[in-house]
Amino acid sequence: MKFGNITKGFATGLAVIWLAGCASTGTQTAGSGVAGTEDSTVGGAQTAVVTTPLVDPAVQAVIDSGKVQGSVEQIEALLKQDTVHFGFDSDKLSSDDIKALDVQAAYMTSPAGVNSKLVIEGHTDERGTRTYNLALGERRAKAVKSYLALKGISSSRIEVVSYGFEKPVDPSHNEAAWANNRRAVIVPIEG
Amino acid sequence: MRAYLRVALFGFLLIMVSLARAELTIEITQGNDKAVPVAVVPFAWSGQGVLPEDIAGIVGNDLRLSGQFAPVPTSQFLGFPSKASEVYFGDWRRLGTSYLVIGQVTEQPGSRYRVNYELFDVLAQKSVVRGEVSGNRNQLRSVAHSISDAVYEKITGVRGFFSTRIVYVVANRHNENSTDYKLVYADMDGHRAVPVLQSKEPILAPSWSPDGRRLAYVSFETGRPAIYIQELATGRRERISSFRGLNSAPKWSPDGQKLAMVLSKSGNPDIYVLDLTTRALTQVTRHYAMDNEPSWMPDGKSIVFTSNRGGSAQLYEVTLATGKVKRLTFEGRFNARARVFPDGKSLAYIHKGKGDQSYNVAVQEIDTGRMRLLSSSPFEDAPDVSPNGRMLIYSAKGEGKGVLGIISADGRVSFRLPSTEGDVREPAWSPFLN
Amino acid sequence: MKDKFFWRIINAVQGQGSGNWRLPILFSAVLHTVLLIGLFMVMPSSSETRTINPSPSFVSARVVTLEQAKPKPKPKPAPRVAPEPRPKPKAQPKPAPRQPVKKPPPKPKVDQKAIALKRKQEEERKQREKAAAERERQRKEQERLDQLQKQREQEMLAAMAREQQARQQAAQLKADQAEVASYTQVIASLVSSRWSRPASARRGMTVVLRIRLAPTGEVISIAKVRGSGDEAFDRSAQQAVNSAAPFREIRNIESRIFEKNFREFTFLFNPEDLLK
Repeated sequence: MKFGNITKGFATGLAVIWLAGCASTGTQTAGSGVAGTEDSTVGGAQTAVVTTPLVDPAVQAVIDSGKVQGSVEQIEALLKQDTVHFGFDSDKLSSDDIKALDVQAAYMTSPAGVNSKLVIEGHTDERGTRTYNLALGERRAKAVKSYLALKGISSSRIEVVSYGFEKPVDPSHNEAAWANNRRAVIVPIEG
Repeated sequence: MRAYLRVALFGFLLIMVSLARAELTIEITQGNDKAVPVAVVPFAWSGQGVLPEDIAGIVGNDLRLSGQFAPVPTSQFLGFPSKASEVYFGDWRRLGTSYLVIGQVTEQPGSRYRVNYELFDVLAQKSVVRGEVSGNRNQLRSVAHSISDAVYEKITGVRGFFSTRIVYVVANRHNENSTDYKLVYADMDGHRAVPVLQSKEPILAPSWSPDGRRLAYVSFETGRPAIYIQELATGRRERISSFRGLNSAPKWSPDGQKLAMVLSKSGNPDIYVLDLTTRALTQVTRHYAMDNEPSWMPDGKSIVFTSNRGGSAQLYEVTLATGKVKRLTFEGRFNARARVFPDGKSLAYIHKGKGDQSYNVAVQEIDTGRMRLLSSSPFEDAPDVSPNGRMLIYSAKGEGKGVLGIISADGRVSFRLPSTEGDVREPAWSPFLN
Repeated sequence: MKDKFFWRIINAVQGQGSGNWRLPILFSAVLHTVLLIGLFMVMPSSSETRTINPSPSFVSARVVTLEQAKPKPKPKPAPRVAPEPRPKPKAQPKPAPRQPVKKPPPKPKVDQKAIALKRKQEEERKQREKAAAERERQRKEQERLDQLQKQREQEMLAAMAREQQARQQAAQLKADQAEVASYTQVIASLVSSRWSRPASARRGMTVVLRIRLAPTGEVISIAKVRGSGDEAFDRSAQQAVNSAAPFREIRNIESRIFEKNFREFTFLFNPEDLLK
C-alpha cells in the first residue's frame, strides 16, 4: 500500500512527461515498468521511429546526483525498496539497507526530490511487552531518520511513528514472521 | 550468709524442678498450603419462576478462582439446608469441608431480590457471619460477588476482590490493513463485558484512576499515539498528551492527582509526570536509553520503570524528590513492565532469562531481590495485580491468539478467563470500587 | 550471674560448712547437677529445631517449654560443677601412737632391796596404770575411728544407692522424653498438614491454644490463650487442631506419660515459612 503511493506518484508524473513528449518529438510510450514501440503516421509520411525506454525521473535524479553508483535497474530497485529490516531487539541498520537509504537520500537532495517528505513507521516483532516494543519501534524509525539526516535531509522533512507490534505484516508466531515484522517502512507524504 | 545460701540453694532446686515438670508446648511452624474446603449449598428460592442467577454457583466459582478455596461438589452433599436450624455439622464434617455457606433468595415487590446468607465454621460448629444483600435482576451477579467478598474476607482475613472489574483490549484482525480494536470493561471473572471504546487504530496501556471512575490509555485514532482520559460513567474523554513522538504507558499516581507517562518529545523515551490539576509536566528521567513503562510505588514518592540503559531491559526505581535511580533487577536478559503490589513490597513484571525464549510473569520481593516465575506460556505480557495483592491478571497466547490469564500471587492457582472473539491483551485490574 | 551463684554454693559448702550437713548437700548438689545436665541432654532446648520428615515433608516441629524460653541455662562443664569431696586430713583415722609395751621389771631384792623394790613396785604400778589408761584411751580412740569409718561407709553406700536411683530416674526420664518427643512429632505433623494459613497470615503472627485431650485422643476443649490479633489467622489454627483431631495415636501412649504431658498441653502456631 505504501509502495502503491510511490508508484501512483511516479505514474502521474510520467503521464505528464509523456504528454509533453507527444507534443514535441512524436510518439513514445512510457509507463512505470511498461515500455514498448508503436508505429504511427504523421502527416501521411511513414517514418521509422525509435523508441527508447524512459528512465524514471526519480531514478534519473539519483543518477544525476552522482552520489551513488550502480546500474539504472539497481538504483530503481533500491529506490523502490521502502522497507528496511532489523535484528532482534536492535535498531542497527544493515549494509544492504544502507544502500537503499543512500539512494533515498540522493533522491531527496536532488532537485526532483527536494520537496519530498517522508513518514517512517517503526515496527517490532511480538516478543517482549507491547509498551517496550512501542519504544523499540520508535528507535528503529529514528535510526532511519538519523541516517537520512546524516546524508543531508532536514529532520523537518521526516516524521517518525512507531506502531510497536500492533501492525504485523505476518501475525504468525515463528522466526520468519518475526524477521519480517522487525522493520521500518518509508512512506512518502503526498503534497 | 547461711540463710542466703539456703535461699539460693532452694531457688536452684526450684529451677530444676520446674524444668523437669515443664508443660509441653507443641510448636507448629508450617502449614499445608492447601485450598480450604468449603461447601456452598444452592440457595433456597422463594419467588415465581426460575431464579435468574445461580447465586451459590457464582459464589462457589469465585471462591474457587481465588485459589484459596476448594468448593465441595454439590453431588456429594447429604442435605441442602437453607437455614441454620437445618445444618447438621456432623454431616458436613464427614464430607471433609471446613466451612459451609447457605442462603435464601426472596423475590420482593418491584422485581427486587433479597438474598440472605450465613457462613458456618463446620469444625468449630458455629456461625461465623451472616448477612443480607439485595438488588434488582441485573445486579444479582454483583450481589453474589459481594457475598463471595464477605465469605472470603472472614476466612482469609483479606479483603475480597470479587466485586472488582477489569478492562482489556480486544483486537479483531480482518487483514493486514484492517483491524478493529475495542477497549472492554468487565467483571473480574470476565462476565458482563461491555466495550467502552472502539477504534480502527490500536488502543493500548489502559490504567485505572485510583477512584475507579476513569481510565487513561493510549489510542492511535489520529494515526499517532496520544494519551486520553475517559470517564467510565459518561464516556466523556479528553486527549491529554499528544506530543511529537511517543505518548505512551500512562499510569495514574496513587493519589489520583498525577499521571506518569512516557514521552519521546525531546528525542528519546523518558519518564514524565503530568499534574492533572495544574497541567504542569515534569521530566523525571533524562537518559539516552529507553526509559519506559512507569509504575508508582504506593507512597507516590518513587516510580519503578523499565530502562535498557544497562544494555538490556531491566527495572529501575527513581525517587521523584532526588532523581536518584536504583537498579532493581539483575537476573536475566529482559525484565520489563513492572507493576508494584499494593503493599509496596513486591513487583510483578515480565521476565526473560538468559537463553530463554519465553517471556513470563515473575514476582520479585523488592527487599531481598528474590524472584519467582509464576507461569510458563511463551508470550506473556502486561501483568497487573488485584487490589488485595492476592491475584495477578496477564495476557498470554493461547492457540495463536491472545487470552487473559489469572494466577494467584503465590502461583498456586491459575486459570484462563472465558475466551472472547479476537485477540485479547493489555488487561488492567481496577482498584476496590465503592 | 548464674556461675557466681553456683560457685557461691560450692564455696559455701566447702569452706564454712559445719560438717554435719556439708556432705549431703555436696552430694545433693552433685547429683542434681548430673540430673540437670542429663535433662538438658535429653530435652531439646528452644534454640534447637528438629525437622522431621514424616509423609508430608514440610512438617517440622519442636518441643519447647514455657519456662525455658526465659532463662537459658547452658550445661556447665563438668569439672566446674562437681569437685570431688576431698577427704579432709582431720577425718583421716590417725595411725595410733604405738608405744612399745614394756615388760614387767624383774623382782626386787629384800630390805634395801625391799624398799627399793616397793618403790619400784609403786613406780611400776603407776607405770602400769598409766599404760592401762593409755591403752584404754587408744582403744576408745580406735573405736571412735572405727565408728566414723563405718558411718562414712554407710553414707557412701547410701549415696551410691541414691546415685543409682538417680541414674535410673534419669534413664527413665530420658526414655519418657523420647516417647513424648515422638508423640509430639506425630501430633505436630498431623496439625501442620491440616493447617491452611489464611491470606492474612504473616511471619511473626502467633497464636497459643490450650488443648485438653481425652486418653482416646479426642479433643475435649480448645482455648485461645493468646491470639495474634488476626481473627482469620486464629481461626485457621483452631481449625487445624479440630481437623487433625482425634489424635488416635495417643491411645498407645503409657497413661503415666499421657497424664503428665498430653492431658493438657499447648500449641504454639508460629509460621516460619511465610513472608513478613
